[in-house]
Amino acid sequence: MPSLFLIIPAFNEARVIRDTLRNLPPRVAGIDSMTVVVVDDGSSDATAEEVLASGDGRVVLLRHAINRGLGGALGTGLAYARQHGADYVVTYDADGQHAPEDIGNVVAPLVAGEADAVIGSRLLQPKGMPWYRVVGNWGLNLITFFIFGMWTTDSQSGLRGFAHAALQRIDIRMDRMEVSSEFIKEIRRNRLRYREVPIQAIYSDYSLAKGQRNVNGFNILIRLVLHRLMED
Amino acid sequence: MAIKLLSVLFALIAIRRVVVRYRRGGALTVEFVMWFLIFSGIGIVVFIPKVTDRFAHWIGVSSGFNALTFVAIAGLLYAVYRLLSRVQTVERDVTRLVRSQALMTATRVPPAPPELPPTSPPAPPAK
Repeated sequence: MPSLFLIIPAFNEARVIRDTLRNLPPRVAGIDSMTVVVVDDGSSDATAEEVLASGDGRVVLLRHAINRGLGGALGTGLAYARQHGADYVVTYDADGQHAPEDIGNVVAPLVAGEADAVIGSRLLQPKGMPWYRVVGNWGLNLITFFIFGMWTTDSQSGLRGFAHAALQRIDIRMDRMEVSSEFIKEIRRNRLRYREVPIQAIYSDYSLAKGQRNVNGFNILIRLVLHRLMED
Repeated sequence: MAIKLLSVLFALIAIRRVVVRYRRGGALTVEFVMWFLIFSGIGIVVFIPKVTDRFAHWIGVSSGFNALTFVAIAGLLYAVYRLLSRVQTVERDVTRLVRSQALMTATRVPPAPPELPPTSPPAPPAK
């Protein structure tokens, strides 16, 4: 009975979260049960109310009393999945930038036992991605490579999958956006079998406004360097 | 002369804060002693610069001013490091607290009631 936990961190996503949940696939190949874990990261809008009104019995809502950032929210989702013995975990953005069918593409190598960790890469086939996003992402890929020593084509992807063994071993400590690079570090540190699969990126005005700006790259760089220097 | 007066003024204000904080129980004795010595030192050293020249010679730089600058920068860097470590620890603790509360109050979304099949139109009244 393989179970999949889909973790969706959400901060002020009231406008789109119900559509994101509605568009999720009813089932995923190789998976018997799917639990959707929405982590409301201290939203000041009606994100939590929208989730509760979604009527989707697969959804579990976890609420942060205050905003802790993307890494904090993902860490909470992962902790919930561990507590409930998840066989597979997939992280998924709330802003509607992922194509629901890509969940199956990320899960497939995990279910087939070909990988412990899978990153859905938007840059293997970067159709529709604005050029400045491509440049920004490559910059962050380089930073991740120089700091953590592992090359990926999309270190900032929000669509990632992990098998049970990987879920038990990865230890996420960063609270903010830099967590995406920390996942790469953890894959390398734990010597997980790793795969990249191409995924689509659906860019709307909303997701472009919500997503990372290139200037955030500098903040991420500083936090990654500090983390590297002050690791305990 | 102005710089001497400003240094003494700064040292007095800083010492006052250190003492007040210590009296209120906001600092350990060891912290109090350390900061008291540092700020007193600043207030005193501006009047006897020869002392700093001797110190400079001892640590191997050319003048007392250079030696003080060197020590001040090293001290500030260490203070920033300690501060950042402390902030990082506090941030992690806050996240841990928020997380444990979120996990304890997990809510399963109630499923929407199944849609009922359309009811047949009411039969026309018998004539």
